[in-house]
Amino acid sequence: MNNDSLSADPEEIDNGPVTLDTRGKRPAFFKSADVDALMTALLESMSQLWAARTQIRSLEQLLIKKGVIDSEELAQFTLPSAEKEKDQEAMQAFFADAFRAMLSGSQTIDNRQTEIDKFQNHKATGSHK
Amino acid sequence: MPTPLKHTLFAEGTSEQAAKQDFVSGLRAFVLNDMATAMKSRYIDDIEPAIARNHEVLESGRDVHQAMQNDSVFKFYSSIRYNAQEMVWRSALRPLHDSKNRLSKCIGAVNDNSESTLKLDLELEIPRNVAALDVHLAPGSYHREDVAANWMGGALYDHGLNIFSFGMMGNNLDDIGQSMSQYIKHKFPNFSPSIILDLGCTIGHNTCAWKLTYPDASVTGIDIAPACLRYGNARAKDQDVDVKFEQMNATNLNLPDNSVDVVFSSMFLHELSVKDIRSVMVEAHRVLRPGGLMLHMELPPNESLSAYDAFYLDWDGYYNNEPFYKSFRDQNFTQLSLDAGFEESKLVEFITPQYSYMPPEDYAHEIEVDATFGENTGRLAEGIQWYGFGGWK
Repeated sequence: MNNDSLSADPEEIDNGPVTLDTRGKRPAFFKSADVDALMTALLESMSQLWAARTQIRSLEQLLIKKGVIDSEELAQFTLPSAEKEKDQEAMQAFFADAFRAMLSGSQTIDNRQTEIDKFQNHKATGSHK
Repeated sequence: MPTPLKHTLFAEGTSEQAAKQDFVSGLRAFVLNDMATAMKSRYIDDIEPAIARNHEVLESGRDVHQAMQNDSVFKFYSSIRYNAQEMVWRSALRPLHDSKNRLSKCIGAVNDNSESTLKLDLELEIPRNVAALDVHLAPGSYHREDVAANWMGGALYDHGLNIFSFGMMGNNLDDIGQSMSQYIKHKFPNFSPSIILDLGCTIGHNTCAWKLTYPDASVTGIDIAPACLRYGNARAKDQDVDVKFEQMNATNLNLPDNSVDVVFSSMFLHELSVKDIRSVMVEAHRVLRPGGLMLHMELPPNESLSAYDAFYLDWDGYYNNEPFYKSFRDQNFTQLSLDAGFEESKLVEFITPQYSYMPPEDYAHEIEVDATFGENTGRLAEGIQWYGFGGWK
């Protein structure tokens, strides 16, 4: 297939894996890099919480508007196993997002400066003014 | 907060994905407004006085950075901002992957019929400063080409910028291009460029703005990344804006001398080494016709800012994978233009408010008085002002 022509039949297109991770080391802002990793988990969790909140609110409003359910019915409902399995896969993906910083190393600010200076073909100047 | 992109290449995503994008955008707005304000207060109220008590003075952005590094407010500001940056891309990529088939079909169909508006040179080498790192922490950077998605870098830029900018860069992400071109049009009403070049255009969002301001001009965006150009061409066509896209290296333009009326760039120079910036400016001077304009929209030079404001803007150089950011902003921009052959009496420098957030008549009134450097110059937050510099040939 001509790499510059992508009007191919979608069924022939290979959906390869998505690259989500940035190349290079993550900076360590805190005295302990473990705190940096916890911050990542915290923020991903907050994001997931916000998404869930938004969905729940939308569903509630829609169902009430349509008169489809009442509160007692909702309290007694359980998911079928196929749906539970999907939730488990989603949970694992969530863990991979939240804990990714705990699975990789980080870099001190001094080392980062040295890397930047090297990249610019400068010698590190050492002490500040 | 992110609104749907104004074209059919927008990967809408599920409601959960949209909610996560909304969260990240909101988080960035919080960090760059509320947390940034708290950090500055911390510096003014505690850090700077403590330094002064030791009879020391913080003279530069680097000095302030050194003083702030161990402070909790700086650490949390930086950690949240860094994580938010990663989350911009992660929240943009999943909907894009889900929409890959549809977008591949759309973009391919457009580009198959774009011989006159899309010119690629796939033998052109991606420079090391681009290929070696993920600028802005964007996974794969903007030249990224996924399997069967050789437009992905461009799509990532477009969707990511929408989340990143939390509504601050215009309805079509083109406020910089609109503000810069409209400033020139207002201040130099007799200037009628017929050929306009946008260097490092990525997806052409600001390139198209120049076409809208000067509809009679032939406008071309150039970039070294084919992924951005493929996507940008399809985007412009979808929005019915007649601009061209060509793969070129701005340090070695494939253009004749004296052939262009405007050489423009936005948020481009600070991604280059000083050596490459000098080459870009020399090339700009070469290709401009007499009476033509070189104009670069950029973050302001550190010498024009207080030590704290210089530190604040330098953050990206340390933590956003923009290693040339600070070395560029430490330069004397006037001298860079002079060294490229522009005359001192013909240099240009200005600060403009955002054009697309006010009625046109208000904009004309706002720019009657020249704005001065301040904490809002180049700082992505409420009240941001854009800085431009360059010269007439």
